[in-house]
Amino acid sequence: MSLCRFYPAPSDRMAIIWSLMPVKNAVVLEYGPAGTTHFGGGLYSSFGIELGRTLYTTHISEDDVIMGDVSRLENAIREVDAAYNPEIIFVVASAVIAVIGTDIAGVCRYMQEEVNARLISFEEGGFRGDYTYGLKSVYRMLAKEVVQPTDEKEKVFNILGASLGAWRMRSDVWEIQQLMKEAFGWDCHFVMGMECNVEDIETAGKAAVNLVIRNEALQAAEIIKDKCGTPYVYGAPYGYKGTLEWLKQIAQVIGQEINPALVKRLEEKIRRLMPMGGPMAMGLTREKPKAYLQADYDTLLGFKQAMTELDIDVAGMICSHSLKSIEVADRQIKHYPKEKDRINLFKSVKNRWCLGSEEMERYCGEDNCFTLISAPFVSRSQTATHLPFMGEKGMDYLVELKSGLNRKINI
Amino acid sequence: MGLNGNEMISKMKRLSQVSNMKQVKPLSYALFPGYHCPLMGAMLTIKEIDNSVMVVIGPDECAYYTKMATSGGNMRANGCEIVSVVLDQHDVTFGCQEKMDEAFEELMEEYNPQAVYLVTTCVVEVIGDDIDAMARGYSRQYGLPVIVVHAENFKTDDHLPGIEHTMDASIDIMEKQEITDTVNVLGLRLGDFTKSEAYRFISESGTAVAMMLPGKSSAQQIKTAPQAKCNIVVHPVGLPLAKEMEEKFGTPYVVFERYSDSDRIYDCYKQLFEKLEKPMPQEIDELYAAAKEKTASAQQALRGKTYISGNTALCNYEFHLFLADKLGMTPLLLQISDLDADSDEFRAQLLKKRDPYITRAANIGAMQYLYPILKPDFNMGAGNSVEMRRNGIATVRMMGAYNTLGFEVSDLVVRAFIMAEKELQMMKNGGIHR
Repeated sequence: MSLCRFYPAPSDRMAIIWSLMPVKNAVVLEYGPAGTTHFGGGLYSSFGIELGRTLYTTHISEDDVIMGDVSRLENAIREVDAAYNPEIIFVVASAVIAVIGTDIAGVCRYMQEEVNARLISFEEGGFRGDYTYGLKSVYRMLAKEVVQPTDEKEKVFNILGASLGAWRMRSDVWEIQQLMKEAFGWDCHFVMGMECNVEDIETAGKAAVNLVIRNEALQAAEIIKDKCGTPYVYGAPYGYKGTLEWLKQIAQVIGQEINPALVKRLEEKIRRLMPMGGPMAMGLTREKPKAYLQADYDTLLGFKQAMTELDIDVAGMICSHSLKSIEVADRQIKHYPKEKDRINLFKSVKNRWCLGSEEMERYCGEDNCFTLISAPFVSRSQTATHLPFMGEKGMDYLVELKSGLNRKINI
Repeated sequence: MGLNGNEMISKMKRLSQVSNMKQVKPLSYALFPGYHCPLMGAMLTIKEIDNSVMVVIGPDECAYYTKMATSGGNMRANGCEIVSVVLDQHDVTFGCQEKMDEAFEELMEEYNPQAVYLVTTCVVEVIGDDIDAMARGYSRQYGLPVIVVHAENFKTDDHLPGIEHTMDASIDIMEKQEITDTVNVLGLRLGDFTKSEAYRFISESGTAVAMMLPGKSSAQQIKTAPQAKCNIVVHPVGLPLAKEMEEKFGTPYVVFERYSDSDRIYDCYKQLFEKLEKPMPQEIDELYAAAKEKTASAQQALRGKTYISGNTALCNYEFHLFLADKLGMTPLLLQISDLDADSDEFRAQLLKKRDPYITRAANIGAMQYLYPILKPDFNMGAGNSVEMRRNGIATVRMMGAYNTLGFEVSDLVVRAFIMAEKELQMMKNGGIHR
């Protein structure tokens, strides 16, 4: 990557902070220059995250950088512990602290004797990779360090991998909760990465199943499985068929039938999507619309499913982050580390349904139809928590959007 | 639960006890939201320069937030392209020259700018990449001014050095000019100078504004800025550039900050019109007399009242001196980000009247624990409005202060305090729910 005209992919450190801030009775303490914290507050609040008593900075001076003085950090840890009595203080290194190599894990170790709060450090600093590395790191840490072992199980579920950095994540979580309630009568115990208490994380092992909606949470799911015996289902419900399949997987794992009324309703919607003449007639009567997708890896997989059900060809899928950590990536999904290559690609797209970020919106021409589905989305505000892309309601919305495509793009 | 206000007070120093910012302690070790960084100061200045490109050199985060801040709202980039060169682990280890070369070539192809500002961040300054040498190379290769702004955050507690360094470095663009009937405005951090009283008097006298920095400007305007008859320094961040321009081009300057005291304002107008070699408009005398009268009248209502203050849009220590000296008020606590030498005299004068506690600014979260202990009548600047009201503290609102200069500043200050005094009385009488 050389010149960056728009937004770089957020760093691991940014994802660590936005995933930890929603944990109530815990505090995120940044060890680094205050300007980053001040600036970052704008991003975190745009995700709907409360800023009050969740995030603090120590600020640093030349003494800290040149002489390796860590007294600011020590004092801030003591102060936060005494003043706010949090159960956990997450100490997060800034980029410059990571570069100079301050041993914040070591500081946390010896400071642990002085304070009541648990001290957990993150030394990534923004240089270990993009935000997916940060998400993976947080989920893994919460599963390993905070979730308590238990064999007791209740008919509740956890959602793992709900990153608030994703567009409409609160709506998608709401839809999953609605589906689980209607399908099985189950409630959600906690959502990893969204608002919860430390106690909710500690007792996560009582859930009878974990729903892993993005791959970055798979390691966490494995850890909880080992620790508490909790099985998990990986995947997210996109499309009517996709949602039904997803529910069937869960049904199999938890050993409970899906509410027949919901099955019937989804099957009816699947049937209605078919053109006259049934599945064989799909795509025969006219040129199929084509879509271009840009999003996180798992969101791309989900939308691919939805597009297939809508009888739309997916012409290209561009992943917003590096694919290095995906073990066997879908061959159609590409990542373009150079922004210029992405921009050239977006500019070349004609007469397509473009579903992606504001970057895609900016560079794909007006002869395309655009729908925002992924980050960055900095010029938009998120108000609704009931307008998902996932699940039945998400697919209802996509069906409606498709019905207006012919008028907007020249097919 | 929360911080211990009494303990904070016991550790706090008074203005008389400090001579540099290292001696000024923050209210707490854990800050929120914390200070702005010089990168933001540089951004605020460069984003208004037409035909320029600002290149943020640093980690993803600095690039992301700068782009985000300038993508909309009142900080939207206005004539300048904001781009970045994002450093990864490889660049931190081996240097960023190669990446910079490629990025510079791309930006020249795409934007064809008249000036490029390379703005460094903490990481670049720590690893010690020689961005200045790179800038000289690009300047030679592409034949345009390439200016480096060093904007590391660990040497400073606010964003002002970012503005100052940007202005200072811009002198490299300037070229000797024939003198015209114009002025430059230096140091207007925020606001619109053309809405100010001072601008009205200047333009009515037939003098034009050649360049405003910060402010809406262009690379061409910066280049021709030495045409001005004089520079008006409206904030100390503009002073280093004014001094350099005087030395290099012989451009005189007048320090005309956002003062509250009408005597000082009158003196600034006098100096300004002397430099412009024009008679001072008679209306200035009338405004001077009116401002003195208003101040004297306000003193009746405000004498003996107490306040705490954060950063303001005004000339900070002069403002507190005015409140103490001319309105008889008592500052209990000042949240500051600077003890600049230019304000030494104001502080010395203030200390003859009052000796307030001082602490570092931008720590709103911690301030609320001092409200019930200090029990001020008024608060200026950011704060926890719910807690202030609960503690019977009235808020002083100086709306539009950034667009003022001249006697209107004095008027704004007096009106704001009179309004706050009314709010205070209503709270005491139960007219406002606490």
